[in-house]
Amino acid sequence: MHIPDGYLGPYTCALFYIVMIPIWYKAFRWLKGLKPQQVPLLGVLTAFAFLVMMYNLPVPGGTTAHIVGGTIIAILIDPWAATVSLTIVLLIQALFFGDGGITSYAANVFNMGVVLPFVGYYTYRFLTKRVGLDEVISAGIGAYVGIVTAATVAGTELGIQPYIQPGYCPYTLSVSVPAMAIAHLLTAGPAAAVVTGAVVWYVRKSRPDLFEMRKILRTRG
Amino acid sequence: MGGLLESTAREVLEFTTEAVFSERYARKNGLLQRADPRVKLLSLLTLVTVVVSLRNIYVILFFYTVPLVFAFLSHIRVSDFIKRVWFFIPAFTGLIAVPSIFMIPGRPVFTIPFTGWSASWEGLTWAVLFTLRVATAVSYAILFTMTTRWKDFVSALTSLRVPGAVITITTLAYRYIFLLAKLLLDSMHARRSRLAGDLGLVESWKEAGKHMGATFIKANSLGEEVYYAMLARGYSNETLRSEGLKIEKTDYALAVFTLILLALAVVTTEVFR
Repeated sequence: MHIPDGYLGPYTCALFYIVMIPIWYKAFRWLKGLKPQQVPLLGVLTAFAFLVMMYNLPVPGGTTAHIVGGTIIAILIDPWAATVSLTIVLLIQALFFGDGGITSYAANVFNMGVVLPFVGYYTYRFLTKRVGLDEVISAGIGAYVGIVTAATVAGTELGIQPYIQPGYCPYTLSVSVPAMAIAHLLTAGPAAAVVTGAVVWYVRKSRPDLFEMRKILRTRG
Repeated sequence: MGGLLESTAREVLEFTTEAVFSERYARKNGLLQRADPRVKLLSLLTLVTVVVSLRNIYVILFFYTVPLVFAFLSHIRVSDFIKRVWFFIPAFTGLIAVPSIFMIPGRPVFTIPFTGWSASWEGLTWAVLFTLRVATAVSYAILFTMTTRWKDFVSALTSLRVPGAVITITTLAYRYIFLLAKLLLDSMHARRSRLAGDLGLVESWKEAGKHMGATFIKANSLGEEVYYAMLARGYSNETLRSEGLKIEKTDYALAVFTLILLALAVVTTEVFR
């Protein structure tokens, strides 16, 4: 889902930098509200988010896929924590690993650091609070919906290029959206659902107190 | 499947240690290693934006040779540099570029027997231009990484007014990636030694989830310990200011060269319009 440089035209890249400014501002406000001892914790958890993304999983078809881990952090800590962590993870990946572009950085953060954790988290919340579904199953469904939505948004960004700035991604929406959505519906989506469900199950079983972290983080010091 | 999980985690660990954390080339005394990280970062952002805007294959080819020359002047083995750049290109770029050879209509060049798929000259040209442009943009980013030490990058971010809390989180994340990767790998080895046979697909996902869950718990305990260790060393919720950064002749030359490339891109875009 990491869009490299050269796939999105300059107009789209600039638009996403503009869109991300208020979101980064809001994320920074959330960060400022943390207690001093929670900042290093977020640093270590960002390293955790990085590792989750580098962890390739076997998927049907004999290839591998990676999950993003945004929903895991959003559920266990806070969706804004996921935005902060993924903003940093994607910066390190773009600059030091060549994974994801620099001009397309803001678009990548929007897809994987905003759409994915927020959609995943609110799906999880809706299922646990309104439907009364088990936390583990809700987390799995949340991760699935989150990753597929983010992939569809990425597909849309790629697919609008021929209409607004030809010379970049050559495929129209009718090709790019199904290509991205189907790949994630069938491969990375199920993997993200099972892995996220298993993480939530494991943490709840081994350290149920960590489920209270969200509440603890909201107690500003 | 369990073997695949271990090998990918090991690959990540080895790659991060070797390619990024070792700072093998960043420690050399080459041209770009001597440059101010702020100037390098701003040049990188300018040049990648310029490259992404280019539409002429010859101009892109020229821009592709620039980082190769700079790699040489910075005492980086050019073959290592090219390998590092092209390591990231094939998968996703090929997925987009190759079908376009057959999908973009134009003068036919060759047809794949029994399929009826005909490659067009326009499609081929576009695929080459697209791949070369991606490779050129990646080249500038990799060149920056290979010639910049992490602490200099952080100093550049600090002087560009990135908030202190973001710098602290970025620095800690960078440091703890290696440790967490090692903890993850250890727990995988421990688990693997108690397993007979291979895991199925879904089982391997569940297994990955448990490892990640365990790593999350370890990361939590580590986070608190890190804070108290930082306090013991005199941390007072402030990041260090960038010190020792000074703009010198090399930096002025680099800034002027970046502007020349920018002007060249503008002129050639007009000429080849």
